[in-house]
Amino acid sequence: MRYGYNGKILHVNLTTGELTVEEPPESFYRKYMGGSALNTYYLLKEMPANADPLGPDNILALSVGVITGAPISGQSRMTSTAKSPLTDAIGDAQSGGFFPAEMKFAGFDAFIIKGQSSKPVYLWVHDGQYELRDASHLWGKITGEVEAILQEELGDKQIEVAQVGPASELGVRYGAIMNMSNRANGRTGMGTVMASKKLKAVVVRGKQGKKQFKMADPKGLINLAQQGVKELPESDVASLSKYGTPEVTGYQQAAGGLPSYNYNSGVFDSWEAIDGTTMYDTILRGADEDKQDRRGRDTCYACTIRCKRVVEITEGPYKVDPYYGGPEYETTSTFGNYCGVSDLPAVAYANQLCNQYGMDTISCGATIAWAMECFENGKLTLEDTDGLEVRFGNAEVMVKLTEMIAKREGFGNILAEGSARAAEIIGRGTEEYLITSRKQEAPAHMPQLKRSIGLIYAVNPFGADHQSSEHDGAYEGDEPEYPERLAMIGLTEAQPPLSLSPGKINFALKTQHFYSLADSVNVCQFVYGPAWQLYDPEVLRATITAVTGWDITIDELLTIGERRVNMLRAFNARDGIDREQDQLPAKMFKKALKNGPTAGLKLDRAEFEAALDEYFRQSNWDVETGIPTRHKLTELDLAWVADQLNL
Amino acid sequence: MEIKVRLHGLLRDSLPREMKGQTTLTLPETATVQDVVAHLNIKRKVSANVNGMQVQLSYRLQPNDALQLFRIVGGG
Repeated sequence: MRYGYNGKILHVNLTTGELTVEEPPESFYRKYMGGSALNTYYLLKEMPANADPLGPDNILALSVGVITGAPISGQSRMTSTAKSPLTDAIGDAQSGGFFPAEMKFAGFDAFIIKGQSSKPVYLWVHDGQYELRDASHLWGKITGEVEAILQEELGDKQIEVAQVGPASELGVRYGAIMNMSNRANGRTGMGTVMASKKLKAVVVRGKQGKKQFKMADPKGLINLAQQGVKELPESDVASLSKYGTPEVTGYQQAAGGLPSYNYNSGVFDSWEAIDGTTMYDTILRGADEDKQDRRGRDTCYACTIRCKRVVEITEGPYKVDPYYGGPEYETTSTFGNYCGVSDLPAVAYANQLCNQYGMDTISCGATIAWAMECFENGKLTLEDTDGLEVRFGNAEVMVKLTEMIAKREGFGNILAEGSARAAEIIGRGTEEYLITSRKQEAPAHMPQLKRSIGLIYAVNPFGADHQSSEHDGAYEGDEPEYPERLAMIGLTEAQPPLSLSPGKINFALKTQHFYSLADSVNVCQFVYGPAWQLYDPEVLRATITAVTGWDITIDELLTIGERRVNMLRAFNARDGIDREQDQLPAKMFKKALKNGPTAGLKLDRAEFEAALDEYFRQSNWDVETGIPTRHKLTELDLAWVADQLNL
Repeated sequence: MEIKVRLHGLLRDSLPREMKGQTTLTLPETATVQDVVAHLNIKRKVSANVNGMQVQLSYRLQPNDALQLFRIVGGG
């Protein structure tokens, strides 16, 4: 008996219009689970090496996981994977919302999308039925308009839509796949890939699927769900409930880890203007009538935390429609402190533009911050910037550039390439100010302070990412806060602050495997994790068992996470990508941070290279190349991948 | 002695809502940051900052110090 998953994968060939259904065996699901591991399996199996990210050979895989749709917090996640037009390596991004659960209820676990359509189309999947439909009338339209048209056209307000916006259609290299018009598979340009295939949207509806969702142990699952509801108020994620991810701003500032002025400082004097409590008090929907908790917080399917921000601004230059949600911490950081901007309505408006036009807020805001530093240092002039004073702190220019990028107008056309390519185009030493790894802009957690996060930024196959391992603080100091949880994944010896010791690297690697598992089961990393999250690794194991009936161990789960990291790494190796590309921005080694508790801190090249050696050793990869060995791949039941690499 | 206290993020909910995390406490001359944390019945792990500088919880407060407390958080 099959529990939790549909056992059906829809293959879509956009060149021929052919749609076929594959029904893999249970062993396939137990080995790959779904999400990123499942997606990468298809990319490795069916995509040629060295494919053009924007050509027909690229494959875009969208999938949920074996527990998606179960009535418990944190399970409604969808992963998109393809070769990235931003990094030229594997690309991978997750989103939440209601789309993932609805996709499961519609009858499929994954969509494997190949080829390129000659005209815009959308994929309509409902109750096990599927078809490609003309989308010419949707092309060029912003997300909210597209959702309204599709609801009318399909006669159903309950459809869920994952779509690309006009920015992706125009080839902005960090285009996002948007669902609900406010949830983004944001990073690595997955929307750009989808638009290159002329696939405007994937629309799902499962009227019967929710009722028919079968679990091995429904009572056990309900108990775990209720445990989360009960424990939430005293948990460390209670703050996410009320003040959302932007609450982290204050602690980042206090620790000197709030990347400001394009990562030149870890403190931003005006941080309070853009933090989670200010958002709650001012622009969170319902703030004027003190009903933020009811009106200003949204959720993902069946999640009790309700962390999603919904903001509303009805007056002034930056009006924001709550339909487009609200900015998260990464967004308040990149458009805020990265750019030296303390105007919260302007930040919320830039977020809205990104959600309407479909762009990753991290790469967009960070690219603008890079341009600001170039301008401040005379590397860019008014002639380059269409007369705009691209200076730190200029909120108006930050918003204007966001719009120009989305429409690829003027200077925005260059910034639409991402900061690394823009630096190549402009030259004049502008690469000195980049904060990219693998051409992807760094998120708002600083390697200068969080050393293992920095290591993961460098080695992560899809570029700098803050959601690919646990953050250093959980494993530092004399009295770590979560010893029992970390011990569940074999981490028992906390390390000194700022260290990159073998013990710290072991922490980075083991938690990377856990987070990698999370992106394969497709669960939210605020809900399931090895430290501050609502549920610990043992509850994740119990949840998977309750839904699927599989008698599974935490070790088996960690192996799935490790398998996925090795597959991602192998995908890059096929395209000739190796240790040489495992880099952190040169700026972080050369320039010490200014002001605050982290003033004077910079990275050390020798320490970093030694950390790479140790990370590869602990991964059982080739230390010289950073490529997985045949021995390791075989151990992970991936001998077929070793064959592909001619190992 | 009097100490100005500002509580940030979720910690501000330790005080009545209208205070928005700001209060002035009268404390014995020997008071430490830890005493303030205990006085406000804060159970969560915190980071402290006095007059703009990061300090340990054992830090002995001085009259008219401005103390800020932040909840220690991981990801985000």
